[in-house]
Amino acid sequence: MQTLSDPLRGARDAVRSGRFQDAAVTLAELPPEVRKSAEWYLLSAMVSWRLGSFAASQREALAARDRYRARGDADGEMRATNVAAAGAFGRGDLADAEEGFHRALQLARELGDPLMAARCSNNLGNIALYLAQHDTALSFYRIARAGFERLGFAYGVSETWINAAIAWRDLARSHDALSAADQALDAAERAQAPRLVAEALANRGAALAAAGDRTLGQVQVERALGIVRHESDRFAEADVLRMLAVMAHAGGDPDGAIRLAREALDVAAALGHPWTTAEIQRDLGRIYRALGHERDAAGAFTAAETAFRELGSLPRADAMRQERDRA
Amino acid sequence: MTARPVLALVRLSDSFAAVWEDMASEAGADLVPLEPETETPPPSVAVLIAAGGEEQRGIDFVTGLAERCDAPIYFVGAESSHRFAVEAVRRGAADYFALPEDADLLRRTLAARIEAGRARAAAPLPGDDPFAELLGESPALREALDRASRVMRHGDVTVLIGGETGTGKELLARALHRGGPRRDGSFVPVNCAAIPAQLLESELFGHEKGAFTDAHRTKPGLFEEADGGTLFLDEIGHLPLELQGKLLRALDERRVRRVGANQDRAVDVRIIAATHVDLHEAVAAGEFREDLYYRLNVVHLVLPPLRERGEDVMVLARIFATATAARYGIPEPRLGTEVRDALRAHAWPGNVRELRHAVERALLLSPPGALDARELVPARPRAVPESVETAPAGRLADVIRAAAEAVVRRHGGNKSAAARTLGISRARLQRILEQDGGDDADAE
Repeated sequence: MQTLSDPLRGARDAVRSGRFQDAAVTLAELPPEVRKSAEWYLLSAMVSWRLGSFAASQREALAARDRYRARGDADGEMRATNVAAAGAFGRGDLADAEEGFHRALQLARELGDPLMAARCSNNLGNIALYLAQHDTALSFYRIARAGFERLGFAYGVSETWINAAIAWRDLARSHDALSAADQALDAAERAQAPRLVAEALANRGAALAAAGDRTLGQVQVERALGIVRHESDRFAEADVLRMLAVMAHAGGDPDGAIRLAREALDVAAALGHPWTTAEIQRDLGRIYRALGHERDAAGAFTAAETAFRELGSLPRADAMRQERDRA
Repeated sequence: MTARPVLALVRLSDSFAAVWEDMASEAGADLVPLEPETETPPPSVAVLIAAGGEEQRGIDFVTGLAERCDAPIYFVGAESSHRFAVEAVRRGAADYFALPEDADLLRRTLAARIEAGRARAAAPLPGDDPFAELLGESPALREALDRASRVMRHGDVTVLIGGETGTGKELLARALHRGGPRRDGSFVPVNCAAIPAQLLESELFGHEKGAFTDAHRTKPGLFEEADGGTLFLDEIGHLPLELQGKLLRALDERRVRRVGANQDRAVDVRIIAATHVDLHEAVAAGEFREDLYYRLNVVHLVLPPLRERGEDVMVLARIFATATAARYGIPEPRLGTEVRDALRAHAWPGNVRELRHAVERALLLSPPGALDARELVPARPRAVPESVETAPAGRLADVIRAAAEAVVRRHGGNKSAAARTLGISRARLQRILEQDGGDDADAE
């Protein structure tokens, strides 16, 4: 009797339960012939991404893509292309990421995979948002959301609303931001995913603060912090701490603001997440400037400018330069 | 509790026997054996014909199974045989997989089927009340929903929804889509007031690569995205006059043309439009085309404001209080007479959305297990122009510049238009943007 057990089963189980470090160890211990397969490279790329090794993730995903392509597996090629683009995105190579997501979107449309098409559209929206192309970003989120809704995929719906709320806040459209944030939270609760609920709560807290209701906003962000810590989600923790720092500053607590921002910076730096680090430096610069600590402010703005420039987000880098010059 | 999804297995050989349980368990499904000659296929997400080495025999079962079940049939052979693959699909199989090469592809296909099945199970069924999200029992609301339910099954009828901000116009549009014959298509909402006028045409109708400076790639428009479904045009009163003609043409001819394209594309889209302003007045003022108004206004539905919905304010307040208590893990409050009086005394100009935030805020700021009526009404957020991310640092000049930048962004970078909105000269706006807030805080 011939058998065909899945050699990647253990690693897949670890990924599914969020044990990415365990998954990496399991993958590394597999026999050499398994470690040459497209499936191994793709799973490994996903694990590397979750561990923040974006360059390795992109490299592995491209190796998977080439193997899938060689055997004519368009579905596998599409998935690997998407992960490779996500790796480029994490690394800050927005041009490469944009190209990859467009390619994956094209494949998804050709293969009739609406879920992947929606994911790619959402990712393209994120790239546009990072490049400060807000209208383009909102357009991609709208298309992605329609796709997720059609599939009844509440998780994706919530993500697109969260992203749209961020874009609206950037545009100072507090009413639209709050409306989007409300819908993000509703969808996150429908999806019953605690980390997503935390993200949606934090997002809504920021939208409420932007709309002038700082008290209610802060309660929501603090609740989000409790959830992400319970879930050990360090990426989200850094971002939520950043939001609380801004709120503390706006609420007249400069010492608390600086403490929270520095705490956020430590978490983001430990993760090696350049975008979050850049955003924290930006907010820290603004806090220092308001306190009259001009040298510290200039230092933080310079760090933010450098990071944004390296990430390819030139409009944001220029904005940081202008803020530094005013500090 | 939701039942686990089922994979039906027709096992014709022992090849790869260990695979099936493994795949099913990995996908979170139960594996149910099926005798193709004697049994009716059970309700399942897919039927697998495991025919490794017995391909010809398996082929003979495909037609009969395809006639008796709705689930896709996946034919799994032991060799990459073009002949078997073509024959299996010709007889009704959804796909052909050859093991071991296609093992991963089969796994992913099954996982996708099960994921799609779960999503469908989580989504409201066609038989469910599509108006379930429009909460309330007042006669005013019930009358509006009764009227809506009568047009529900007419999937091609254009509907115009009126009502104040926050009354639930998008929820009603979504309900019409979900309860109607286009429910399997996309529901694509777009707020015409939220998109800069110069981008709206490309957003609605799409563009070809090179059609304008930033058109680096061809992009389908929202009409194409909504093909087979519903396009919801919120705040239709904000649609620029020059686009109103194009919308009318799309409605009449059911064809759209991307910006920069030479040819039209056929689209099958139902339009639902909404507005909080009186479009009839806009027509009289020459701001809205009369022919488009009548084309959109085939069925006119109006959602009542909360202040005209009597006891619904209390009903909704209770629902929002319960949801908030669950969200934050706090005791559910009792809503006493003082709360009732406060809710009735307020006009709720922001309607349901305002009420939801007010209840949530009051509950979080009240002692545990209570809802302090005094916290309800001052809950309306103040309108301030800046976000958390871009909060000005406190200097007046910064505040002025940030506000000016926000208006410029809202006008898509058009400084002349932004200056008109701000009521200042373009030169003054330029000074504010370039220098340090213009130093002088007085408005011109």
